[in-house]
Amino acid sequence: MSKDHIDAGLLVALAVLALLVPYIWSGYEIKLATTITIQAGLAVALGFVVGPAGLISIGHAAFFGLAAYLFAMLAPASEPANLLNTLLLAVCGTAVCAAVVGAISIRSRGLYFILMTLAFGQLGYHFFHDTGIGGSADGTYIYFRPEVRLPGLDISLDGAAPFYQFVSLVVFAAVALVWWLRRSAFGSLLVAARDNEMRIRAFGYSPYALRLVAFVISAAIAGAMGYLSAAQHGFVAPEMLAWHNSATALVMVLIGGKDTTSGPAIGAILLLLAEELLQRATEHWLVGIGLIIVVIVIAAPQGIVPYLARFFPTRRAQHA
Amino acid sequence: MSAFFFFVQLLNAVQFGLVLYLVASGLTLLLGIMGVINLAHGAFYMVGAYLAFAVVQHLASFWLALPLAIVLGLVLGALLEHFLLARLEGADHLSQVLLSFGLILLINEAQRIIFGNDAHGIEVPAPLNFSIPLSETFAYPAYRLFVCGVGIAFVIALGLVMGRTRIGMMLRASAENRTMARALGVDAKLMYLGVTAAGISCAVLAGVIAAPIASVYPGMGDQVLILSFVVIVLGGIGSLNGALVGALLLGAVDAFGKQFFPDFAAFLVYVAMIAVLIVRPQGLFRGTGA
Repeated sequence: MSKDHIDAGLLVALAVLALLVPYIWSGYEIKLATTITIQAGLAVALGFVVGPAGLISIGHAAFFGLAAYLFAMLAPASEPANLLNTLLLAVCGTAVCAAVVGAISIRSRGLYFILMTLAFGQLGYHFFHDTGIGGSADGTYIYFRPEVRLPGLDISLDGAAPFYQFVSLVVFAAVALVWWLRRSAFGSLLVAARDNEMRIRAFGYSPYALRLVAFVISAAIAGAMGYLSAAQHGFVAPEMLAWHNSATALVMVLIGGKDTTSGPAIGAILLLLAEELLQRATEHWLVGIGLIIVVIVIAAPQGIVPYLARFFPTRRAQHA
Repeated sequence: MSAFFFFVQLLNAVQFGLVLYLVASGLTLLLGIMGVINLAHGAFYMVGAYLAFAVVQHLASFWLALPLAIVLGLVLGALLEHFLLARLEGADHLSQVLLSFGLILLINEAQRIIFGNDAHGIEVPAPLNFSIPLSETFAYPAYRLFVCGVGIAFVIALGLVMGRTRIGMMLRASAENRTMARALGVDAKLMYLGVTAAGISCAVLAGVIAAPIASVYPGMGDQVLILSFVVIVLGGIGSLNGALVGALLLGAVDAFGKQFFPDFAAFLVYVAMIAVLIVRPQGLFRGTGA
């Protein structure tokens, strides 16, 4: 089995698990599953820029939060918002912002890029925290969950199970997109530009343009996840944009492994489940999370999925 | 706007800038010489502030915290390098980012376990708890001048060590070309241990010194961490002179920003950084690039 096969297998397994969730659990567990699914989508989007594009961003929570705020501003005060319209607008607005941020940041490489994204993320945080737009530090409530309005068909997403099913649908569409992009010619070019920029230039491609496109796609998906999160909780706050969340998403990517599509999703699931269990056990659960991160970085620096893949010998390895 | 008002803000700018430099110089040395990005640097600053709080509480003397901070910083830095960073040698920045993020969570939570969630104030220690009158309406606290003095002494000392001593020469050589310096007989392991210990020590010391000015609260390291990163990016990663210029610039943006645009002061810092990086993507001064 190659890494690709394991990756695809894990994705199918996750899809099956996601389908089964509403039939196995109810109430609180479904809400937890919704949160985890949204975070997994964010981690997969971030994994796409961190892995193939080689761009370590500590600012993705800003796109997550920005789309959430756009939704809060677009949502009417006295009736449910039209989901498809507002989702599209929020994601497009986030993509435009990401194009500007990316165009400036991607000129810087390595550490400068990491710190650029950190600065832009904090800029976003302070924008909503300090300027009074979107309710300042207190945030804004969204009183109605949006509903899907198609011609002749209104689908309400009230209730934990229907909303969860809708969230998994969107997240799986996003994950499938990332999976396809990673395997496409575009994905190969990104990897090639990461590993040997000069050669890709010599082939006539612009590494800058490739990375920018990847960055915008990733930020747009992160935005869609932020929208879903705002719709789930009915509340947005500046903390959604804070760099802690960006770093946490990065932790998910690393725990699972940045070089596969399923890795970041599995990282998100494991981290959030660990959080949930530790929170039940102790008030000081962050100690546990901190220890887990430190141990994984030291023991399995490539992430869990590649770590597991080592136990499935490839055909080539068997011949050798 | 009177000249005194301007002068007071200028002093505030220099004082804040020098505290930032104390933190950022350690960060930039780690980056320039070892290529290590340490997000936990701000957490060590917080450790210093809480150390000051604990020492004032239990030993009733602020001044004891200064030597204790240096020793504690050296020990913590040496442990960090020996047990964690040394194992990550050759790994990419991503691993360092995550390791140090894990450390932030551990240090922040340890602080909550020991000291709880409350914010604390520390009284300005005698004999510096008086103000120097500048005019009939303006006075300047003596303790802030003391902070400026410590900062200036640190700038001069670090400049002398880096520029005039054999150790400084080896550090500069390592920042320029790690592999070549090693080939010429620089003991990398010992140097990394020394740099990390000294860098962390500076951060802890900065926390102690800043404690009587800023209040002591959970998560206080974050703000300083991100500002320090802005400082070293502004100056050019790995460049100490750049970090000094960046720190003073940021001090000025902060002090004057708070007076003229109180709602946007935090905002302006990032706008300044992004503006500089648009014009000069590698910072104001030539750093080592890392």
